[in-house]
Amino acid sequence: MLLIALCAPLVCALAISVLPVAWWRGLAVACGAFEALLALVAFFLVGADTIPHFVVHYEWIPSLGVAFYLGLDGLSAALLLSIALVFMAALYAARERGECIALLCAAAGSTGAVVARDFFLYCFFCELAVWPLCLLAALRGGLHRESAAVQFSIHSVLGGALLLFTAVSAVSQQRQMGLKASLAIEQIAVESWPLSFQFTALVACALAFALRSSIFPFHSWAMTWHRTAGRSASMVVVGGVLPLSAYGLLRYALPLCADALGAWQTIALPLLIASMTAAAFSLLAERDALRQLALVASCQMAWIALGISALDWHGLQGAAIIAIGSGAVVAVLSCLLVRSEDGVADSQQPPRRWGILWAVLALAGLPGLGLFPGYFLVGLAGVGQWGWWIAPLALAAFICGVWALRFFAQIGRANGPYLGRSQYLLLLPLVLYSCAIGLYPSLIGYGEVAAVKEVVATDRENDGAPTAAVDSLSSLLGVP
Amino acid sequence: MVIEIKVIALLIILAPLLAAFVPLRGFSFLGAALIVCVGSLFVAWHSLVEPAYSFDLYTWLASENRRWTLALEIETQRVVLLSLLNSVALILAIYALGFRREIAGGDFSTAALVLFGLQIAGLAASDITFFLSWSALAFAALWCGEHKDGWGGVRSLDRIGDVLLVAGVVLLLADFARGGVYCVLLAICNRMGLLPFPLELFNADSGRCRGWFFALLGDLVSPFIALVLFLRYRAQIAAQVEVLDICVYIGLATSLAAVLAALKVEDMRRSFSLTTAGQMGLVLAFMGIGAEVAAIFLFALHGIAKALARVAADGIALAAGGKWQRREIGLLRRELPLFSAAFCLASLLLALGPGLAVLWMWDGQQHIWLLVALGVLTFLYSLQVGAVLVRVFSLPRVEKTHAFPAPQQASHIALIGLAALAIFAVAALPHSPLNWLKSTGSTSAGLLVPLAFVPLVTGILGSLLSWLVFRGGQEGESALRTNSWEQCLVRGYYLRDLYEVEAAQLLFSFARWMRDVNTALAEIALGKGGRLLIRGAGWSLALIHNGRVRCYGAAALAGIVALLWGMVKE
Repeated sequence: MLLIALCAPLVCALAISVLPVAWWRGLAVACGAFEALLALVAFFLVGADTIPHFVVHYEWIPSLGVAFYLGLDGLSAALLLSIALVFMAALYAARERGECIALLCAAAGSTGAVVARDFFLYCFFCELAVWPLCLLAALRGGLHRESAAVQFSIHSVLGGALLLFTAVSAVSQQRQMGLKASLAIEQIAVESWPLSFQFTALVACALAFALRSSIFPFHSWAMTWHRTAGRSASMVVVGGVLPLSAYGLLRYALPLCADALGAWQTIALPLLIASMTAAAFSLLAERDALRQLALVASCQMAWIALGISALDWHGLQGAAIIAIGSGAVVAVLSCLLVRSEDGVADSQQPPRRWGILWAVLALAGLPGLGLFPGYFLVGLAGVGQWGWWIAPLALAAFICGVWALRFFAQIGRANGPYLGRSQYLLLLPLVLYSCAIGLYPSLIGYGEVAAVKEVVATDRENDGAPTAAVDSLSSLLGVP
Repeated sequence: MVIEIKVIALLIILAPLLAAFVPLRGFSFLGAALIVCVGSLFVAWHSLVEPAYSFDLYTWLASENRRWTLALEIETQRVVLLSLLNSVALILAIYALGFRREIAGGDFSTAALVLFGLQIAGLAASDITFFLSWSALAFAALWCGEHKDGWGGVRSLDRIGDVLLVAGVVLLLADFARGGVYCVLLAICNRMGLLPFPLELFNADSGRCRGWFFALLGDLVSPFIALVLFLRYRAQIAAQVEVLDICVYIGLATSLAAVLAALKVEDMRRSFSLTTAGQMGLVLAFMGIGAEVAAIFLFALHGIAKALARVAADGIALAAGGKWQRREIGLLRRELPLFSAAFCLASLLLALGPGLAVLWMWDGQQHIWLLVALGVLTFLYSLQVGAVLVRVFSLPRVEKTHAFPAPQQASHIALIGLAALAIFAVAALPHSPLNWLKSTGSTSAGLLVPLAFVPLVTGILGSLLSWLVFRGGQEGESALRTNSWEQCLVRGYYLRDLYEVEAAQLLFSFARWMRDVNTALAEIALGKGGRLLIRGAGWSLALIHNGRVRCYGAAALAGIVALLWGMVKE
């Protein structure tokens, strides 16, 4: 099933590029719908289960311990569904054949990164998701498209290089310890990583995350990107690429450097709070709605990083919810905004107004609309971990709320692009999915933490001394 | 029976939600109001004869050792209040269909959403369920509001309340009890429109929101949610002894500030909003001394009286061509006698409400200083109301200058219904449905100490004095026009001058000062000040992300600061 989900977009992209058919758009949307359907079926089959399903495992580069290892658990199934829905809506918004091909390649990359259970494989699929979008922006974007593509590619290359450096260092570390090289999720969690390596890995992973997920002040590429790259590319970046960084942080970086993160929690807090507050204030100063989109996504990523930095079950759960929910919400918002490709905006469609209102209220953290459970849990974890030092977070949340009101007053009630009824229908699943998460967050399985629990259990069975990282997390999780 | 109650509870929540999305304009809202009214009355009756009952809908989230559920609760105090407000909402729906038929369908959807939020707030058993009511109201407020100047400021103040509530709940969950309670208290003040927030919150909503009934429901619903919030967290609040004292001080200070400011305000909408803030201040003060029944009585009476006053004033203002000045209210009393009479009744009830509420306090709660303070406040309320009544009944009659839609039977039914509800609440004092509550929290049932009547008596005195003086003043003015100087001197100006210039000069100076301070505060908070502050900070940061200061330089600086911070902490 996972191989089908992975290959279908690539096959479709190949078909569209080779076959001289006029209905390439229909084919691409059908492929997107098929992916979404597969993701939905997988989501219901996997449920909130923490054990990987549909496992595919082949050795790929044995000397480096790289395996073609795929699997789907509760967390990845939830994220996969969100990403598939975003791609379905984005493919419908695409206007050219080349755009569809690039989006389908990116869809394959994003799907692969989510279902991968090997660090190397994750890095590979992340690159596959990013580069078609760079090419798309460079060839089909609007004004300053070269600048947007170059900025995006520089940040992606740097981020990717840092992730690759971490992976290679981890393998090298395993060899030094006389262990079998493997960067599968389960293996990363059981290893006893030396503290010096953990600090190095933490710096590299944090920088990679900041660069790729456009955390303030590494967000300038995203501001150019959303303004230039077109509707579908913008939707895909916020809904299909940024969540991948958060997912990688949760899945791979956290087990790699939990002890180091615990030691540097005090530094992480002011950095992230400053980043979030600065992004929130900038939101109010920024006049361009598309650039505001980048800043909003930056705020969401800072929330995720804060949840992970709290090293607490609530925080991790909150970070996962925001990672899944924010992609859907910001992608909907991105679709509804006016762009240069729309020409003169003279349409007043009520669904657009409702959609923008829904999105801004969800971003402002209104209960029941998708992101509230994440904010709530991250706040709870932050208070538990840092006490009153977390208070500026309330300021950032308030400013985001004020921005939401202002944004709706200015943008939601103004004229917008003409979007067909089908486009709204394709956005509806994203809205419903996000609301479902808001009303019932237990829908998502939290595999990453459960994996750590399993690791602790395995460790006990093997009668080995628990590693420092596992010990730290298991004590946080309350596992005896 | 239990299953029936569950079904009815779900029905009264879902009916307004469905009505919000059914394109039948006012009729869907009317249907929803009817369902919630009948349903909540049934649930209230059930709660009077059965013990408190709660049930889980589903587990919202299970995280570590915590579990949050979406749950409903049939708790007597809240359900009785809810049924009362639902009755008011039903009457308003009838009135709206009868008189204000030009209201857009979207406004009815908004009102239905507000009604939905009201039901959830009244029946919520858990924090998470309660949050949903705030959500519904915020959605409705955003959808309904006309985005004129100051609108953003009002909604921003709402957001402060939201953030404070969530922060309070999070702090309480994380065992930061004191901080959590203070945050919740501030959220309550925010929703009730009390100090330290500007008292003009409700006014801003009334004046700037489309759909008069949204403003009306806003007057009722926001304070109701705040009251429910207090009732929900009363145990945690009571655990912090000084917080209860702070509640009393905030309540009395707000009430005094509001009533003083209202003395010198001519716009009826401002007057309504200030009255709401003042009376809600007293509700908070009653809660602070533990007189929950008195607080609930005052809240209920205020809700009914304010609805009656709003409806009557709305009808008159519509007839007067949209003029909301106090002096216009009496001009059309011959054309709209029922409206004028209803307005007068409502004004009297608003003035005497605090005095009547004192009769619901127990022996141990009747502190002399509090009764004296209430006496002064009731006196001031009555002065204000007396002045309004004089204007309604004493101004020379004028002919209507333009055509206005004739009020239909539905409007009259609404007015009579609200008046009957108000009279019932007051007249049934000793045998009121609320009476049974006395046995639940009282150590002594004795109420009738002479001091308890002080606020009521001062209120009546205030009304009489105001009537006498302003009536005399107006007769003096008419005498002046007929050149009968003796009459003018004796009956008119002498009395009013004696009152305004000699006896009450200080009072009116204070009133003017308070009105101006309040207006300035509101303008700063709702408009210029907040905007300048936020934009100033945003502008300086815009320099960073617009590239004038290099992003990465800023990042490096932030990194250095964070490292230093970490070292200091270590």
